[in-house]
Amino acid sequence: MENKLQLTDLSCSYQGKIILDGLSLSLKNNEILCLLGPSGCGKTTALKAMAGLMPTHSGEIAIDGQQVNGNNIFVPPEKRNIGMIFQDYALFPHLSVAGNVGFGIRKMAKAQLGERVKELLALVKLDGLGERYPHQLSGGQQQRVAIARALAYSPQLLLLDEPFSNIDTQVRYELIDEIRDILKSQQMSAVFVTHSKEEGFAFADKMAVMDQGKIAQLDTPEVLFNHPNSPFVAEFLGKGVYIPAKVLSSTEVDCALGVIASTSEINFPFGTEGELFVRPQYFQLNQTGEPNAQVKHKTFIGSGFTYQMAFEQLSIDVFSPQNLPLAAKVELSVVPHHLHLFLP
Amino acid sequence: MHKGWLPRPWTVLAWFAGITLLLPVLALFFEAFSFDTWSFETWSFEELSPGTEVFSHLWDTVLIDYISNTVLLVFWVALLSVIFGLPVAWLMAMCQFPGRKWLQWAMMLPLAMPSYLIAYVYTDLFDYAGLIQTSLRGWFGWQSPADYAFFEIRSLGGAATMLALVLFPYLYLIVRTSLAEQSYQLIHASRVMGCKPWESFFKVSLPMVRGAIVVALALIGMETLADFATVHYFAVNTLTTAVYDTWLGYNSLTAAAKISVMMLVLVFLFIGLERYSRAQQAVYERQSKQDNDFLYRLTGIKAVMATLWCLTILFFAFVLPMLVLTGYAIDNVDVAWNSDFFRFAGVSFSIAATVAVITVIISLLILSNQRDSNTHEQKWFNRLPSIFASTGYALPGTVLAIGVLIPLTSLDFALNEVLDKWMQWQPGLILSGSVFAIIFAYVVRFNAVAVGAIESSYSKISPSIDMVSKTLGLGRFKLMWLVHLPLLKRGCLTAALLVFIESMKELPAALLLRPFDFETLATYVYQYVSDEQLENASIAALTIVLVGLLPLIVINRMTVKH
Repeated sequence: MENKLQLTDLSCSYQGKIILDGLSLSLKNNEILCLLGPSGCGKTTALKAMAGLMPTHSGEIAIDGQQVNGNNIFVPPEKRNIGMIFQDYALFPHLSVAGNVGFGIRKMAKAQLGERVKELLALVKLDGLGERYPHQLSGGQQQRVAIARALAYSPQLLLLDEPFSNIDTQVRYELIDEIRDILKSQQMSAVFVTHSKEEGFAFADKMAVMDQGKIAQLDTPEVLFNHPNSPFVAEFLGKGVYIPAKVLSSTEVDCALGVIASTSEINFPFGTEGELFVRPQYFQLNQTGEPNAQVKHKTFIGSGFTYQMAFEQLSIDVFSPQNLPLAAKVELSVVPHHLHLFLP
Repeated sequence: MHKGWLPRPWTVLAWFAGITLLLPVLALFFEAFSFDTWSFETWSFEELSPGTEVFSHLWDTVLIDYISNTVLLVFWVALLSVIFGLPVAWLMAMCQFPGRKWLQWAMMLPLAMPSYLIAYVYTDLFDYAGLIQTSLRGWFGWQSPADYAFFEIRSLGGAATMLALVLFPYLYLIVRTSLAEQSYQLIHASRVMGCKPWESFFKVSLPMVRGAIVVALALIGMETLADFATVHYFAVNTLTTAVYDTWLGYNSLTAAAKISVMMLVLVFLFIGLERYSRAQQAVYERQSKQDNDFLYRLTGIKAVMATLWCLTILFFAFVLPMLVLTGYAIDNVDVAWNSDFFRFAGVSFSIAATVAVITVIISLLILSNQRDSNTHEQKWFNRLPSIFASTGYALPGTVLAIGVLIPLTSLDFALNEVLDKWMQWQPGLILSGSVFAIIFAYVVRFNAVAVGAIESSYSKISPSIDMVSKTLGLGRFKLMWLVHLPLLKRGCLTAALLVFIESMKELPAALLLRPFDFETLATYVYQYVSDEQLENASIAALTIVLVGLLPLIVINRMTVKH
């Protein structure tokens, strides 16, 4: 299968600061890729470079096998046939909803255009709102108009820049599901930029975690979460604590919390010393066992509690459904799971 | 304490001040319509006052020409302002090019240049006897005007060009601000949807700044209507010159008032247009702000063209006239550096300072009363004085002068009658024929400037400051003295400075109202402009330009701070 999008060794700098530093990635047909990273990691710049809105320094970009950046080639944004959704939606305030949706459609008879616009408004569930103006719509509705506008001219690739950050949290995940379904139904390939891992998990087929202008790891959300290849990726995708540990066998390590079993094979020789990264949900609190830790702080989060446990010199975040009093002394242990061991 | 229906003394004072400042406008309408007797049976005037006869005579002879000249002048000034100002506004808001940083500021400089001064300078250059035509005749051996074609600067087109050169910065400033508030993402969105840069401009940027352009053109239209000196100097007859001539030539206040009311209709039309477009615009300006970046970084020939365009306009609108004026001043320093200059500068200075102090006091009175309103009706009721007290700003100087003369002469007559009866003493025209008339006119015209500056300063004081002061036991005066005034100090200073400068520059009202043998700096300069001897008053002229530069520095400092 041919790649929809191919970035090869892309570099980009702005006012002497390197923003993209040899970025390479590829996107398959009908795939949704999420660029995830902290602010300033270059994810929006990468998106703008794909759109042709940001000049690149070196490297290549190809869309559908056709080169648009590199080797003295620069295809201007208006010739790339891509759709783009902006953080503030960038709806034209002087045009009606229908005017916005039809904006990018060229060379189409008027009646046909009207039909197409209607069709798209129906697709995003905004039937009958074509005559309204953007300022008369709610944030979620504006977002749908932006989606309809970007899909209207059947672009080869859709780029989304933090599209959900202005949506209320109550409806955000509903909207994410809905828009993902729309993109899938239209067989649209898309690149999506966010700083929120939850949005990425919910929206994307694949995720690329970016760090300082480079891709730290690119894979499916499950693999990234369960098999991070670096402390940076591990930490970015969720809280956790580092505990010094030593490999005992291909499925066991030893640490201050005792011997911990791994559900998968450990790829380090016996006796290797490293840092074990454990997420809050892989801890267990046992009130009846030998107490080795104490509750320092607790926060109710609905499905249970997050505790800050004092264990020796460490402060460990633990998730548990049990309700324990502050200062309670309990036994802290780690349940068997796929262990991540990072070498110092 | 506010008891029952009895209004508070502050409210009474505020209303008194508001109505006094509205008096000239009321008087104009009253004078224009009151002395004829209209018959509904014959559907015509039964009896016409002498002023109406003068007016009908003018109507039958020249007034139609004057009206069409006025309309054409406004049209050409507006068109030229768009041609000069719109590209500059777009370049500054969207592009990076060499010199942008200082040009952005420098493009405001022409605002400081009175149009009659650049009119004089260009007449000096382009007239038959001017440098350009003389040189052309010398090079080509032409003998008389019949040998070649050359444009006539003393024409409607010439006047429109002069006015546009000094008024286009309004359009530049307003449209630049509006463009800069547009999110670049809108342009980006249109680009990815297949628009070339110029298509983006016409399909996205331009429709969104249309409102701002109309606002700017309404202001430019009002300034054009208000211009007296340029058209008078070029002998282009417009409604402003008609008002002037009718009063000085026919001595008819009624006829002058009728023409003034015609102008006021145009002025109110422009104000309505301005308000409407501003209200429309509010909808558009809710976009997110942009990253600190430029949409287009111009390089090579494009960058050179951008810089050159701005420099050319700046050169003709400010640099060249300034150089010529400075040249006059240097060549004629022995004549121009004289006691008259100092005397009239002193007169202007004291008038302007007086006006500045009066307007600040009136504005404080009106605005503090407006602020101290609790109910909705009270708010509305207390807002009216500030609206009344700001209306005078819309009056062109000549119209204002007529509007001031009407109530003041009546008052003078009444005063003389009373004093004659009781004390057998007739003091003469002590109000309408003295510097009082000028000061009153200036206060009427520039009070809006003070109200605006102080109101914006007032709006930054949180209402809870007032509430907390009241709970701490401060009465109205103490609240004003101990809390508001210290917080408003900067706003009051800005207001005073702006009013001072406007008063230093104001010309047409002073020309009509000045007592015999009385000059302000502006009338003194204009006297020499009409006598084609500006060289002799060149230092005074330069002074007026330099005073005009002050508000630009103030504005620049305010924007830098934000």
